[in-house]
Amino acid sequence: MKHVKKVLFVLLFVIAAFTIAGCKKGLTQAQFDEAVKIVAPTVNTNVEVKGDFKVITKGKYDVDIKWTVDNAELAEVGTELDASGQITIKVKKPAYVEGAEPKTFKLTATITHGKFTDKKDFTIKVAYESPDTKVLTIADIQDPSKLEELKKVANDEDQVRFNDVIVVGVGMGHFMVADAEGRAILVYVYNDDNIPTEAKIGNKVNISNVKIAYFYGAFQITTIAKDVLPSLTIVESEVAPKETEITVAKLFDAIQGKSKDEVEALGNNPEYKRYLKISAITAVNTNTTNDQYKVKFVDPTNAEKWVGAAYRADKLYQEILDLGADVPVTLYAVPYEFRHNDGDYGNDNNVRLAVYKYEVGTMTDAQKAQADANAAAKDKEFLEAGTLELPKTGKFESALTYAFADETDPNNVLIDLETGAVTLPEDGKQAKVIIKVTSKNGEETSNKDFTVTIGVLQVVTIAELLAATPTQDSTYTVKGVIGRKPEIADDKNGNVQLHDLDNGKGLVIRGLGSVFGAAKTGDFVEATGQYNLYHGTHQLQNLTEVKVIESGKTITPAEITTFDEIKALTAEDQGRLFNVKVPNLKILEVKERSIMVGLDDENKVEVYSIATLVKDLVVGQKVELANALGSQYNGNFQFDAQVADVIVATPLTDAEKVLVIKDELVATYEGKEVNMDSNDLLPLPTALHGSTISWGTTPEGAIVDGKWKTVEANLAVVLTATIKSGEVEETQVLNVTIKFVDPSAPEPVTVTTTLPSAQVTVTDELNVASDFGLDPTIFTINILKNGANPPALRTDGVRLYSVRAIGTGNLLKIQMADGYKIKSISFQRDSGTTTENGTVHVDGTLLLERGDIFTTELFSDLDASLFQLDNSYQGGDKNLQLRFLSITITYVKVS
Amino acid sequence: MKKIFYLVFILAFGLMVTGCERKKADVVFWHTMGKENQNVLNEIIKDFNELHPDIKIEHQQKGGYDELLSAIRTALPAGNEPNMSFSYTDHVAAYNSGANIRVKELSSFINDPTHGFTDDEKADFVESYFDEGSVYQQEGIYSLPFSKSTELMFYNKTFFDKHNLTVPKTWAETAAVAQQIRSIIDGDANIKDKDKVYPIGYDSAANLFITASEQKNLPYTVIENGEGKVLFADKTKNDGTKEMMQYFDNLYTRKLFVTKQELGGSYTSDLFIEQKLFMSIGSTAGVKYNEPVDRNKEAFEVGIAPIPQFDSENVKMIQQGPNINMFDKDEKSNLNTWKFMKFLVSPEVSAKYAAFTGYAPVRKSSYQTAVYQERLKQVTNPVPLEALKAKVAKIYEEISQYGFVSPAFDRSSNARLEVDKVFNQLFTNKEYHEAATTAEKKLEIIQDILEKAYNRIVY
Repeated sequence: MKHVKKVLFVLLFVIAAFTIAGCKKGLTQAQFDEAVKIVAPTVNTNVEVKGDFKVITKGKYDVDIKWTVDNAELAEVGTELDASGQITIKVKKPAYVEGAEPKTFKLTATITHGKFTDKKDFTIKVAYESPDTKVLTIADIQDPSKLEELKKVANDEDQVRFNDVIVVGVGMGHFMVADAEGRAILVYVYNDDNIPTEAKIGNKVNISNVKIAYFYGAFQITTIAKDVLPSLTIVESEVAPKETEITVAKLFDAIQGKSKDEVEALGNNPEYKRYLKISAITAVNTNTTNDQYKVKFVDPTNAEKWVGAAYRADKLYQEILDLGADVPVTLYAVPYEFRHNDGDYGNDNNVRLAVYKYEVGTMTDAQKAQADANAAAKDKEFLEAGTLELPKTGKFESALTYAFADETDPNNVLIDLETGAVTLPEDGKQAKVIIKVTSKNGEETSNKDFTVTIGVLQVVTIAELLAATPTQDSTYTVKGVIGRKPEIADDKNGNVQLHDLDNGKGLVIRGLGSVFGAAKTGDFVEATGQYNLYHGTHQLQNLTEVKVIESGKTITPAEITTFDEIKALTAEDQGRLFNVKVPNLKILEVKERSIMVGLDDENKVEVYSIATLVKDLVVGQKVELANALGSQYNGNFQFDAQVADVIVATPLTDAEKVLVIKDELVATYEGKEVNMDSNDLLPLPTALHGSTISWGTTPEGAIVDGKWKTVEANLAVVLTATIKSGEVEETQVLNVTIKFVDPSAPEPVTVTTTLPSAQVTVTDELNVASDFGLDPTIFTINILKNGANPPALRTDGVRLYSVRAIGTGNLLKIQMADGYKIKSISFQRDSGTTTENGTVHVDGTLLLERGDIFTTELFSDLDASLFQLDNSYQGGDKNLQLRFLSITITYVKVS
Repeated sequence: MKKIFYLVFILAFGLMVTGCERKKADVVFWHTMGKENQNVLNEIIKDFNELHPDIKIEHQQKGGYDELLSAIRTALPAGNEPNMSFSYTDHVAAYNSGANIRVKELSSFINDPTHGFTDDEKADFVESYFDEGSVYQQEGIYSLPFSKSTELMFYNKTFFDKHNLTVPKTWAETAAVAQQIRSIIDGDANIKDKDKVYPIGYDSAANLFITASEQKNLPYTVIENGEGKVLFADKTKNDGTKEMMQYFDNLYTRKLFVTKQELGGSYTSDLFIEQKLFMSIGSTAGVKYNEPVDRNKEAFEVGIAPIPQFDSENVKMIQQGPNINMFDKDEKSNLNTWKFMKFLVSPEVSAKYAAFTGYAPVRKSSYQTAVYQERLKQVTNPVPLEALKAKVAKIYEEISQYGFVSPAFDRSSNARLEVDKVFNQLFTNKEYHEAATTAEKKLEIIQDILEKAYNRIVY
């Protein structure tokens, strides 16, 4: 029996061994031959190759493939495998020779597997450089006299070559090169995988097989086709171009007050587009909550002058961000882009620097401690057990110690702070542990918390997600019901509304149409993507999956029946659905893309929509909202009604219609003065909102041939409007005065400002009247900074900035010369204005306080020597701009 | 002890008998379908498995067409390629380039008495679609048609009706109508930024070049004696090509015409739905981008018409959309793959796929199927996009006979890429448009543009 057992165990062992070995089958000669037969380069060998290409290194049946070339002048085999196990054959195109046969090299694959080996040769034809190839220098590129010629090279997509340029930096999807003098140009290759291995800082290289492109006023080098990479030949290593010292202030001054074209043209300007050495003080951009735009560099001698950092351009961004504010640095950088009206850094023009090297100046112990704490306190994610790195010393030699932020947190057991060992939660769910790092440098200490997320992703509701204070760019799976969803093309991103089942919270999920697939409104889904707070709106973006769990779900909107309930809504109610049925809720104002609804001026809320859905609405209509989406704008709550059937407006009854028309007529005519022999306020309307209006005047004949009659003294006229709507007919009496106009009196003159042909650098003292096309002997026009961002008198309009914290801003002053008076003034709105809010003083007397300056009738009937307007927008999270295109002024000569 | 021993033994034996791997799919199909179209495919596979329960089909989206091409080119030398894939003719030409012909030539299956098509079935294919399978350097049939589309002219019918305009059929008529529309634009005080409002736009400049060349019998590319050639830059043959380019430059200069290139890459449909362009020529696969209500714009009625022609006697419209091809594997795999390919192009299945996706059916009899007839009835659907899709479905039957496709060879996709740029290069050429430039110099400039395009194809 004992022997039988032994035999059986041996048998069992053999079976198991055979089974395991059988999974990895040995190779037969026939199989090897089959593998060899299909080995080929991934290019078409019938035609000339035009650039680098890749080859596989593992073939069928797991055979190994090694590649060699026989002509180093034409090609060489790369040294690094890419993520898919392929290797690059680097091709060097020879210079063009007319009529010559293509040059070729032999590409040999040596295929091996165990005892088998074989070789396979391929003849690869190499394309010549194009006969159109131009040899360019960066000096050519930045030579203004060659701009048009080079634009044509760019437009014709001629191939170009740059010799002896030095790699000064490598960023995301690009690298930067400079000539020996430091003149720089960007080489754009789409993504990091396409950056040639020769593109290492300090390498002097020849770049060929590329073209130039002209974008936003500047040239860049780019690939001749998306899949044909630049060829780089190393000429020399460890070379540095000349660096040019420049101050932050000079960069700042170079762009302020410039037009879009002027700003963008700096990207090709040899004075600025070069390898620069810059002394600066680090600062934090407070205009954004987005970490991607946080770093600013301030001039050491003038804190009001600064430039931004180009997040996507350099790989040192995070390090610099960790330094914190007020640290002196020396930057070695190239301006990556010159941005006009750079919203991410506020509303000013801005230079974004790509920093490729930096040196830190003298730091205080407190700064060192803070910088080391910042660098150590990075959120981490462990989907599996592992080791959390907990360095004991920081870059600035601070001593680092770690403790749990909440000692009572039961999840603390998942991390051993001595060894860094991380274990997964036993319940299989996701857990978070907050660790406090203490950084000590000299006598100074700094603390910072960071979160370690451990375990598999959990599916959470939107409320759970937001309650957990989600980390920017971290991945979450959120479950909810799809609400509003437009049609989204497979290859395009689109925004879709997601709601919690109980309508407690909502957020926007953003992704490609192909990811949404057939998911539709009413589907209960699990969406996986990265959390992002976009201008105050909660989003889950870059969706990787939208899984439909169930269909046919409906969200029950919250019922709102009093205006106090609307007032209680905040930006936190964004994404919820509401049915608003407030008695007597009326349309108070109809704008181009929104309506203001409410009970009165103190109780109103904006309903954002689209032009076609609001154009037929009438002030005074009672209104309800059905399935209105809670939204927010600049931190303020509003309703979103961008789809049909949300705004339910009750048609006015005939009687209501007549009342509305009466109100409108009173607002337009009652008490108004009109000039004799003019068509002021004429013709009188004969129809409004579907009603008819007939008119009578007392005395009769007050209107002659479409004009007010000529009088010898001011004449009071009673207009009688008879309004008829359906069966309802009412009259409205309106009093107007025809003003006598002395024919011998000076004629009023009406002028409208024009915009300058180039942006004007505005200073407080500068009279910009002639820039506005006005006579400076009559008008003195100043635009004062008044504590806000510099005002802009541009080729496309005028911008006055606010200081939202205090409600003042750029101040426009129009002073008339002695003997002249302004009679009326109006501003022509620029559609890009972000506020209408201005405060107006006339001869020092307040005329309008924080009101809509585009309501022109406010500024008629003046008799003023001095007109002042300031952007008095207050509140919100941005300094809004008051933009206008022109000013129309009517004035008279009075002496 | 004994129990444990027997248990282990049984498990080990079971493992040995069942093998190490779960059953693989019999047919692997790589494509570019989005999720909505994949849902239709899943239904089709379900129907197929009712007939062939023994053939397991697995399908996979490999990204867009570029990604699909790249994935297959990498998979082929490692033997990881699928059994079949979506493919443009250029793709098949690439797979069959070099040392190995890897795409299966299908004549033996097509003509097989058991598994192939009858003569009636062959005749039931839309000829020009079927002919796409043999536009290669190698003789034979290398693909079957599957998702086909073409170009149409979408026009603002509300605007046309209001101004009593006639829908043009030829380019001469189009130029005349465009001039009328220009006058309307220029005379309408309510239209702002008149320079950014156009009578007609053509999305794809490459399609314009290729189609206009075909309509006017001008040399573009050709396969001669098994060799692909690029002809458009050959100055001994391209006088007509230069004339054709001057024709469109004239329309552009008169502010009558624009392509996507002059709009900075924006599709002309984007302007069309905003009523800043009144005739938009684009792909039938993009019908949804031409419906204003669906894109939250002010409503107007969208009309459709065949694209303008140069010669009413030589009507030509470009054929687009992928075919399906088979990669050569073992006999059994190939047969299984063929059965699935044949099923996919059967009249009912082709109709079902077309009715849902908006592509054209590849079989003539598909138009008579219940599922396609139901699609046609949607022309009265109150949802404007559904009605528009139905109009497009209807017009396919009328125009599919005029389809053409240019030859596929080593450089054909590059040729297409490069002619996409030449109109814009001419339209924006300052010297060409200077008054002092002689007619002779103008032709030299166009020749230079065409030769540079040729050089980019080759070098």
